[in-house]
Parts: sequence; structure tokens; C-alpha cells
Amino acid sequence: MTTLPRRRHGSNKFMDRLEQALTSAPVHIAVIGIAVLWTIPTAGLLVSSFRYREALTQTGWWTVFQEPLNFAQYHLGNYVDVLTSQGMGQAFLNSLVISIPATIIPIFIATLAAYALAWMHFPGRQILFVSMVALLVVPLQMTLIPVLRTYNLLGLAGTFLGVWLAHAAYGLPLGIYLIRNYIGSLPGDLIEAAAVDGASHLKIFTRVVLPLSVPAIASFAVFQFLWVWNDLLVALVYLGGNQNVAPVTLILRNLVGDRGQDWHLLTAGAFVSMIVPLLVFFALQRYFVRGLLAGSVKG
Amino acid sequence: MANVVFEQVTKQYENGYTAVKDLNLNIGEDEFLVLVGPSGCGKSTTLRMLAGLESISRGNLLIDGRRVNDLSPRERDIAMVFQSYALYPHMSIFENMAFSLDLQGMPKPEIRQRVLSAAKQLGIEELLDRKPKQLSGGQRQRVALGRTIVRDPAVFLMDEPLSNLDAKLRVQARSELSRLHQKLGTTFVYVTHDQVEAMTMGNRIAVMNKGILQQVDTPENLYNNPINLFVAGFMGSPAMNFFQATLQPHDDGLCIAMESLQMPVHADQISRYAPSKGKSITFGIRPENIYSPQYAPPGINPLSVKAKVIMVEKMGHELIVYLTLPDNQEFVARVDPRANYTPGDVVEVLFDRNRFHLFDRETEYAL
Amino acid sequence: MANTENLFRVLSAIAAVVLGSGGIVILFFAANWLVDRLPKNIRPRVLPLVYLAPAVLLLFIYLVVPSLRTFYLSFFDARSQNFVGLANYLFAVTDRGMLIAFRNNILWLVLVTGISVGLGLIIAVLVDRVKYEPLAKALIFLPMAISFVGASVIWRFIYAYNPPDSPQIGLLNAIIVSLGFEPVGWLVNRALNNFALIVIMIWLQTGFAMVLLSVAVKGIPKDVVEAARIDGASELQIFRRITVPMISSTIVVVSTTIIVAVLKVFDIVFVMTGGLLDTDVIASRMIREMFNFRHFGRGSAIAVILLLAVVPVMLTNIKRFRQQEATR
Ligand SMILES: Nc1ncnc2c1ncn2[C@@H]1O[C@H](COP(=O)(O)OP(=O)(O)OP(=O)(O)O)[C@@H](O)[C@H]1O
Ligand SMILES: [Mg+2]
Repeated sequence: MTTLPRRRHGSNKFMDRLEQALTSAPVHIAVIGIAVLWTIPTAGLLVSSFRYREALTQTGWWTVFQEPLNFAQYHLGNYVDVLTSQGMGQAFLNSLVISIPATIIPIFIATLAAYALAWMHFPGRQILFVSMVALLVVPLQMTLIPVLRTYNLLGLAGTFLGVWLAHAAYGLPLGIYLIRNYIGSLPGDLIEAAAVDGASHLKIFTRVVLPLSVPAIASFAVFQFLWVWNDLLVALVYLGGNQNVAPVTLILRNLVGDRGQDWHLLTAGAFVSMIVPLLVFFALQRYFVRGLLAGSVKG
Repeated sequence: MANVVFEQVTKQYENGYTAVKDLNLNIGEDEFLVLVGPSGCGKSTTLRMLAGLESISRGNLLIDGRRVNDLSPRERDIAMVFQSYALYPHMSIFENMAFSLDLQGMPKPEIRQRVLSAAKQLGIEELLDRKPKQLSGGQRQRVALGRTIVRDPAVFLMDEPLSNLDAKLRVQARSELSRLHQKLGTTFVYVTHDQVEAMTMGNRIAVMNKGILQQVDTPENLYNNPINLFVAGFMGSPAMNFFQATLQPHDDGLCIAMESLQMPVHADQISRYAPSKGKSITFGIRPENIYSPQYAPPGINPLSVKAKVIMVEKMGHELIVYLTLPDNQEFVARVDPRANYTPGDVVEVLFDRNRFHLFDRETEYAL
Repeated sequence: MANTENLFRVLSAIAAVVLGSGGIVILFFAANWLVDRLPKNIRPRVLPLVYLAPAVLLLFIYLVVPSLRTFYLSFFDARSQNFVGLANYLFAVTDRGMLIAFRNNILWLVLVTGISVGLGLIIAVLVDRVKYEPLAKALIFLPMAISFVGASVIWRFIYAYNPPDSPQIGLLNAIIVSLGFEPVGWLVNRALNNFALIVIMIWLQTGFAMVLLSVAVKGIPKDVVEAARIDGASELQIFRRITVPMISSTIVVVSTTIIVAVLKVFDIVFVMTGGLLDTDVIASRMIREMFNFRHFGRGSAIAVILLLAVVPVMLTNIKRFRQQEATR
């Protein structure tokens, strides 16, 4: 070490900067490279959503960049068609009404269960936990028919409640898995300190565990919301033809037509329906934070 | 203020390991009891059973005469300082300290007043709005302490609360804790493996080893009359010197015979040791009971011993001298700093014949 | 008129959201309140039930019961009328199409899991050091936000094939042709089509892996990394020796989730190739048996096999959770 020449002078600051830039260059190249690669399909979709239907089937979407300022090749027709289609406004409301409780309900239930599985002592909790997670693999399609029959008996078919509960149940295995994993890694001393401070399980849960589990809850919330928002299958089966409660995905599907003749509208439809999930992602991204546990326990 | 009684308390973990065995311990009201012992001896386990964080496998635990084995922590009226402090990272210092009071449903103004007064006592008033991560180690330790004293619990539990502090802070915190105990007059159970902490803070000290309680007594008694080899070796620093010996008849008295050393037993003590005549024993003498001839105090009953100096540690207020006997038996002496020792020299040191300990070599109990 | 109607709609939507989300919370607190009234000695035994009951109940009704029914049906014939013993399972493990589906699924499992998790991890670590982190993350996450119906349109534009002399509207073929090669039938060529589908899945899943792994990477205490740096570790060594081991539990969780997602994937196959030309995977084959061929017995048997396939993954998880409990 001592034999290395040391840079001392201010004029070398520039060299330091340069060196720093050079060493961090691969990082930037990798990040930007992957981000761009990942965005190409979506960019293509975005460009396509402004093109005419005939153009779509004759030339590649990137050809617009040959004359990017030739606005004749763009139009808003697809968006207009999507946004003004019958019942779109109501469908947006319906999608929200379906997605918000269908996200909050499983978050709450999964966090409760995760807490019990991680920090309560009762026989068989490992087995219970693993069985719950194993249910991740059950194909939804297998459950549709028996559940629908029950729904018809109980009058839940075509109701929001029916869809909420179904989405909640389908989301639970992932939620329990993610959140249990996070809660289980909280420092045991913290939970015990709260117990000694006189907190019941309810208080430990609401005052200590919940606030500290925000990153896990936020990530699950994003996934569950996305999944529900973009879901077509569950809505199709459990809501049936009930147009009053139909979400955006159903309206979009109907827009395409029975023979798929208007598939080009999906390009615009995809972006219209993507706005809300992206808002949710950005809103929750700030909760994926560093160092929530800093300062609590050492080591 | 409460007394705590352990009756034959045993803790066996699920994996079958017995961490605490048949513990009998009576902790008096407003006593400061220190639990010491080497790492892994079951101190934390004992404390955690008392806190209700660990179930009790067998035996009874009584707080104020009430059996609390099956009560949850919050029903026991105890407060605990964790070794890791376990501050709630998402709450401000004020909220950390107010948490337990808030859970009790205490009115806000009273909480405020209690937290403020506790913060004042500990000198952390300016920190109340900060989060734990914005504090230094010593400040966190105070907050952890503050969190317990706002509560006014029946029993305070502390698991090595000072072990993460630097030496200076530790000394300061030690005296603060002692003062706190005097002021509050509440039962303290304090775990440490630092015997200086144990000696200076405890009304009584309980020494544990391998899950078994060895001896409970005042610091003086523990130091002067260790019940067995383990306690004798554990308490005191540097540790007591041990020599293999036999107890032999000598004229009409007794003599402790070591390989290269003979030491007649003082007439007063002959009756005490007579029953063990002929036994293999361990002879123990503390480093502080070995003197350099020039600086020996007048009252001692010296036995002159010749030994070779191996190493000298100068502590300023004393010298720690490592020596060997001709048979290569090593021992340590703590002598006056003015004494002059050079490694390699053969010197004379004085054993105080009034201050030694004898242990049965087989049972390891003191004779 | 229309305005008040709209207002009414929005209000009733809000009411539904509040009722739906709040209902479960109220139920829970009520149950907790009730348990607090129980005699003390049984309370600790009842309390876990209150926390677990909602989850157990929902899972039981929506997933367990249908699975049991599936298991039962797997021993019956196409219309679920006659008991056929193990015939459906025999079919599932001997049929040529099924064997190809198994082969494809293994390919999917290895490639999708390996690449999504690996890339997700690398991005999660790299993105932590750039200023435009939110933007980069959002772009990589974007595929998850697009409904798959929408995404399928664009992937057709990427893989589209036209004969050599007509203009290519597929991006890949356009690139290839401009480089002077013959266009390739990405979805038709049996050597390539499976990989073409797998790429779509990787595109979809990497964002998922990245989000979770990034949360974990940010959870690593700064001083650990700094200590390693002072100990002389290079960035690559820090990644291998500190970062990866410290977030290993999240890596297992993400891998498990992606493995399960791959086992269940069928929409990509359905939309892109319809499972033709040797592109079937187990789940798509199951759906086709069930809903196209209406053979409930076979469909159910394949579903049961899917469930069995996940057992080794779950065993790994049990082991890991034991470790977690032992060290916390
Ligand atoms: N959950 C557990 N399962 C099994 N054995 C345990 C468990 N917790 C502790 N032990 C064992 O019990 C013994 C006593 O542990 P304890 O934590 O009480 O030690 P300690 O005296 O506090 O030690 P230290 O001074 O190192 O903190 C140790 O040998 C330990 O390995
Ligand atoms: Mg301990």
C-alpha cells in the first residue's frame, strides 16, 4: 500500500472523477441496456396503439421512425374507440371497486395469518404454513366449476362480494408466503420487548409488526392489485354476463369482438388499463425502503 | 416491590437440552440480585423464564407469593432491558418510552409527565424526538433503561445491559444503575458475565454454571468463602491460583503438602481441616494475597516462596506478576507497583497463610 | 340527471370499497374482543385460531375443496361417470404429447427461474447505485402491469413471420433480414418455438423478481457492506459473499414463486401457439384436456401431478424456515 503513489493535488480531482465514471460505466450500461431491452416490446405496443389498423398488418411498428414527424401515420382513433366504448366509465369504477377490496382483504388476512405462523406458538404451525404455500400451485381453472356451483346456490354469482372473496383466496398463498417470510425475519427481541412492555398479541401485531412489515406488504399489494386488475378469467366466470359489475378487462374483450376482428384496439386498451396499476406501483414504490429496522437491535 | 421465588425450576428446551436445572432461589423485595456465570450457563434462560418469554418445564415461579408460571409477560408486571436494547425502530424515543404506558391506557398528560421525568433522570431529554437509529450506543442504552423506569414495575430485569458500552460509559452506567436501584427501591434481577459489575452492583450474587446454581451470597461472602472450586475460580480477577496438594499430618498439626512447597496449617484452623486429613486437595490462594516482601503489610502471616518471574504486567496501581515454582506450577501475584521484578529472575514472594482456600479434589467443595 | 347518476355511481363504488375492505377488519377486531372475554387458560389456545381462521377458511373453500374434488375426479373417466383407477395417470406419464409437455416444462423451469431470478438479482443490486433507480425499476416492472392480452399483441409483432420476399412486420425477422439472412418462423420452428415462448415468460417475471429482491437488498445493513469493503472485498466478492448469502431467504422465496408460476403457465402457450408444434406445457395441456377435449379425468390427473411436482420445492422451504426460526 505505502509504495503506491498518492494523488494529492487538486488538479487530479478530474482524474478521480474520470476514474469513478469509468468504473461505474458498466453499471450504467447494464442498467440502461436491460431497461431498454425490457421496454422495447412495450414501446412497440405504444407506437402501434397510435397507428392505423391497416398499417399494423402491413409494416412493422418501427417503420414510423423512418419519418417520426409524419403525423399522418398516427391517429387517436384506437384510444377514442376504447374510451368511448359502451360502459367504459362504469367499467373503470367497477375495476376499482373490485380491485381495492380484493387487494386489501387478502393483505389483511395474509398478514394476520403470517403473524400467527411466525410468532405464535401452537402445534403444527410449520405444516400448516407449508400446506398453505403449497396451495400456490393449485390451478385456478380447477376451482372455477365447484366454486361457481356454490355461488349459484348462495346467490353470490355476479356480485362484488363473490369476486372479492375469490380473489382474496387466490391471492392468499402468495401473500402468506411473502409476508410470513418477512415477519419471521424481524428481530425476536423486538417482539419480546413489546410483550414485556405489556402488549397483547393484538397490540404487538398492530403497533409493532404491521408498521415494520410495510415493505413486504407493499410488494404484495402491488402484485395482488396487478393480478386482480388484469384478471379476466375470474371476472368472466364469477360475474358472468352481469354488465353492471363488469371490469375493464371484460369490456376490452367484448370490444375485440367474437371473432377477434378488432384486436388492434387491444393496443390502446392495454395502455388505458395500465395507467392505474402503474400509479399503484409508483405510489407504493417509496415504501420499498432501506433500513426500516435500523437502530432497533445491534448485531 | 416484590419478592421472587424460584422453586425447583427446570428449563428443558425442545431439543432436549436442559439449560437450567432445579433452580431454587429467593430474591427479596428491593434486592439487587446479580446472576453471573460463564457464557451459556443459563443466565438469560433464567431471566427469560422470569419474564414469561420462556416456558417453565418444571417447578414453580412465584412473584409476591403468586404462582406465575402460566402468566403471559404482560400479566407479570415486569420490565426488561434487553441486551440488544430492542428499541422500536419506527417509533421516536418518546414513543418508545411511552409505549407501555400507552398500552395500559394511561391518560396522555400523565404519560408525558412520566416520560419527561424519566428522560430527565437519564439525561436524554433532547433526544425524545429522534428515532433510535439517530442515537449512539450509549444513548440507546439509556433509552432502553428509560423505557423500563417509566413503568414503575414490580421487578426490573436486565440482560447484560452494559455489555455494548465502552469501558468508560460502562463504569458511569454502573453507578447510575446502582443509584437508580437505591432510589426506586424495587427488585432488580441483573444478568452479567462481568464480575466487576457483579461485585460492585449486587446486594447478592448468584453464580451459575452449566445450568446449576452454585452459590448465592453477598459479594463479600462469595469472595471470602466460595463454596466450591468453580465459584472460587470464577469470582476475582485475576482468578485464584490453584495448586494440587495433599493434607498431611505434621507434628501434631496439619500440613498442606505441594510438590515443591510445604505449608503448615495455622493452629486455629486445624480443627476445621482435621476430618480431611490424608485427602487429595486443591490449595487455592488469590493473587492479591501474595505479596512482595518489601511491601507486605504488617498483619499478614507470611510463608516465603521462591519462584521465577515469567512476565510482568504494569497496571499503574499494581503489578500483575506471573511466576512459576520449581515444579513448573504457574501462579499469579498482584503486588505493590513499587516492587521491582524482571522476567527470568528468581525472587521471593510471600503467601498470606491466613487467606487461603482448600477444596476436596474429588467433590470440588470447599473444606 | 346524468350527473347525479354518475355521482351516485361513484358514491356507491366508494361505499362498496369501504364496506368490503373494512368488513374483514371489523370482523377480526370483534373476534379478538370476544377472545379477550374467554377464561384465561384457554385464551392462548383460541387466539391463533382467530388469526388463522379467515385464511384457513378461504383457502379451504376456494382451493382445498376443489383440489380434493380434482383428486377424486382424476380416478374417473372423461365425463366423471365410471371409475377407471389409475388409467388417467398412466396416460399422463406415457402419452407422447404429455412427455413432450414434461420436457418443455423442465426447460421452462430451468430457464425461466434461472434467468429471471439471476437477472432480477443483478438488476436489484445494480439499480441500487444509480440515480434514476425509480425509472429503471418502473421500466423493468412495466411488463407485469400490462394485461397479458395486451402483451400478446406485441409479442406477435416481435415474432411475426412473413415469407422472405414480403416486408417483415415482426421485429426479430426484420433485424435478421436486414442482416441478410432468411426470416425465421420463431413460433413454428420446433427447435426455436419453445425458447420464443420462454423469453416472454422471462420478460414478465423478471420485474417480479427484481421488486422483491430489491426490497431485500435494501434491507442489508450498510455497515456490513462497508465492513466487507474495508476488509478488501471487491464489488463482485461483496455480491457473492455478502449480498447473496444475506438475502438467500428472499432468493428462495422468489424462486419458489416463479417455479410455481411456471408450473401454472398456460396463457402464453395458448395465445401464442395454442400448444401446437410441440409447445405444450403441463398446465396448458391440462386446460386443453379439461376445456377443449372435455376429459375431466385426464385434466384432473394432470392437475394432481402439478401439485406433486411442487413437493420438493416445499421441502426445501420447510428446511429453510427451520433454520430461520433457529437463528432469529
Ligand atoms: N432455544 C433454545 N433451544 C435449545 N437450546 C438453547 C436455546 N436457547 C438457549 N439454549 C442453550 O441453553 C444454554 C443456556 O443459554 P442462555 O442463553 O441462558 O445462556 P447465558 O448464560 O445467557 O449465556 P451468555 O452469557 O452467552 O448470554 C446454552 O447452552 C444455549 O445453547
Ligand atoms: Mg445471555
